[in-house]
Amino acid sequence: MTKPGEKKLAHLFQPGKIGKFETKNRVKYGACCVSNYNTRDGFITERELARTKVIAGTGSGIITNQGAYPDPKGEGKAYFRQIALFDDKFMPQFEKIAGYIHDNGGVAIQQILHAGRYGGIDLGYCIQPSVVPQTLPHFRPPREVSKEDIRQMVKEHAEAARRAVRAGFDGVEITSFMGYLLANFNSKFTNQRTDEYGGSVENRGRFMRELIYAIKDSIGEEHPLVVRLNGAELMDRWGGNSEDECFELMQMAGKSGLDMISVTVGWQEAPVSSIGRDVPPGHWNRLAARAKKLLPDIPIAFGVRLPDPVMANECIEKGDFDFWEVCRPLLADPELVRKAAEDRLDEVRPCLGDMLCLSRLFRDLPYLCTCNPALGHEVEPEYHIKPAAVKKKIMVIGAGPAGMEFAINAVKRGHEVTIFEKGDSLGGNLASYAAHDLANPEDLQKLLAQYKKMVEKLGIEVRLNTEVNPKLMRSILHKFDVAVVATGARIDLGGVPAAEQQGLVISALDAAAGNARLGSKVVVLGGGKIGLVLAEFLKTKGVDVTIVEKAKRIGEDVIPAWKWRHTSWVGGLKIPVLTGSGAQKIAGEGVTVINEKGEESFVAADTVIAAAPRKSNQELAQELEFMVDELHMIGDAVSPRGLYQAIHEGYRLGMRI
Amino acid sequence: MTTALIDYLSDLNTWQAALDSQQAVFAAMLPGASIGIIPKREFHSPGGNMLVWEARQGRMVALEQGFSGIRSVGVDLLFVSDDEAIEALHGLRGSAAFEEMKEFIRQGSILFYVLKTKDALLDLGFEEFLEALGLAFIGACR
Repeated sequence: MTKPGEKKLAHLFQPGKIGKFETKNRVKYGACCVSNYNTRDGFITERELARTKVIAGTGSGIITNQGAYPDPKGEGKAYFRQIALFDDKFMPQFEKIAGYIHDNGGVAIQQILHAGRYGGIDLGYCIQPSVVPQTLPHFRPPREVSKEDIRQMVKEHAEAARRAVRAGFDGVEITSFMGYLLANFNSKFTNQRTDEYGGSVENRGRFMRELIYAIKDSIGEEHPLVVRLNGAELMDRWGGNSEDECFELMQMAGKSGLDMISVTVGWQEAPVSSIGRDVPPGHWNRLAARAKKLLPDIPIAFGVRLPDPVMANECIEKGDFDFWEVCRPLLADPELVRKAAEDRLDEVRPCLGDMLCLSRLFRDLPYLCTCNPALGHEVEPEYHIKPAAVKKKIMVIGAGPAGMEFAINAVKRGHEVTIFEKGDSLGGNLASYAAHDLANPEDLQKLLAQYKKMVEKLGIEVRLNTEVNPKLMRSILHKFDVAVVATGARIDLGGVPAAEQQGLVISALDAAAGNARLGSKVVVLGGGKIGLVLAEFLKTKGVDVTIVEKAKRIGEDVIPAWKWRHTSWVGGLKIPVLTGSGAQKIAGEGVTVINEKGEESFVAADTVIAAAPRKSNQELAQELEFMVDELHMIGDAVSPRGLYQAIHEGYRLGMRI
Repeated sequence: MTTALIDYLSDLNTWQAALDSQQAVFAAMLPGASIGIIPKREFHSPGGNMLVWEARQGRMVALEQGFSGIRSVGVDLLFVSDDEAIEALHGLRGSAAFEEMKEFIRQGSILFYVLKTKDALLDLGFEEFLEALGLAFIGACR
């Protein structure tokens, strides 16, 4: 029977085709990230298998398993715990994964990922078509490959592809995503060879054609080959390919006998965003549409910064592409496709695009997700929702993300939960933070909306405008077995010099919540994430803003992959920043600032926003210690940190209480 | 290269004064740590000279060295610059020079290449310098 969402999103849920294989819908789970859950020598672990079982169960028509490096030397290995497929010894786990995918009715594709310029993580060098030094210190110095090396690489790709098919995969994918080996040959930035593999587009594309021919020969016509190709490299300033050249290469690939093209955007080194929150959803759809127009007979998959199934459905209807290729949104919520089919999109935990996954990956850690605390823990029974052994009556104090995440999971386990919130709405400080977000406020607002929906759906009692204090506790003594303090953090105004004029200094939280009138000349004390978001927002509204930060640099509490965005915004908006400096005196006309060398300066201001230091709201926990049987603290109430810790701590307590 | 540009690059006293006004940024660098600056056109047709900043006896010093191509360049980091950026940076002092350089990097007027591994750069004491210029130490995948 057709489900209501399948009717609404009829184009997304119509069957598709790749090679001879029918797909149940037009969703392709994309192997956009390597999980880093595996062994250092390339074997798939139980942790990976458990996680892949969840991915296989997402309901996607095509599932692409994450990229395996194909060479025994590890020149193609980009990530510490990347999986390998250069030997038959790796095959048993691949067989299991292909089985999981087939058990769920999906078409199984194995990606072969030779990272080229970004490879050689264990070797201290990388290989490339030409010696073009790195532009990021993260990667390794290059060595140029010989023609013999090229022949060997083609052979290794073909052998790895053959192994994948022998393991039960239906097809194979090769990738130039984000500047890997295939992209290095295609791009004139990294391919400066003078032999038949370099120079013209025709020559640069030779390696790609040889790969396609060799892999198709190796796996047979009946098994599809997907090639991921850049619609745009975003490497223009370095002398990379133009968009026209990218599409010339795409056309060449199309004529070489592949079965699907996945259109990607950007290199890891690209100086501009391609997948971050600052890129509006749908921004790159035009590249997919161009590919489809160019190659109408070849299935096109696309999903770069396209987290929304409704938009994907529209794009398929318009003929912009054939398959919605989605990875990070399915990491955030593996139920996404099922919820879309059941018309429950308002229950989807959104991918925030906040890059926790990639920040961790580039620190050589396994990836995790801000919104999905179970990701990477699927193998651990403690992370699975099971009925509680003892059903308890629980009061949650504070309706921010930590409190709501806890409440939702505790209720799912059978507990009876009541949320107490002193404000008049759910969301805590996140709501006002979201309203000032320069990137894409909708991302955080969707998360809040999802929390509100789930609280409502699960029938969790919420008492708004209710401040919990000892007096209230006395009136409800023994009505609850457990109190969970999720009261967040505040700005410690005691850590800021007293102002000579009342009302001159306001807390960043009050400023963000709209509880204070701001002047036209603002000094923000604290260049952490809260101060930065406010300063950037105010500057775009024409306010004259200066940031004063005690540390040597701004954004010290910002996630690594997002720090550049703030520094770039602050630079671009020309917001003056005084680092290594603190406020010494605050008077009616402004702030006297003193730096590490003891030098004083004066910044005129009619409003001073204190965005630091932050202090946990822990006092209540101390007061309640002998008023309730079981007492817990979660989120910023424990220590001021951020959204990721709030959600994860709320979830973990909800799972074990 | 135009005569004016050659003059700017060879004006080691002025570059030294700029470096002396910001020695704190280079304080952690070990002897031999080096940074090259070269105009874009010189990068593409090597054979001329390159401005080099090299850590020697506890301070960064400005030098001139030949540039015979990227494969044989001996520096740890190489900045490849538009002529205008070199002209604008020449003569700047203190934090203004770094702010200006940062802006040129952001705009793409100055490109940079990394010739050593991350660990080698960290061991040579480059962290502060890279952070001061806003250069990411990790893969971006933005």
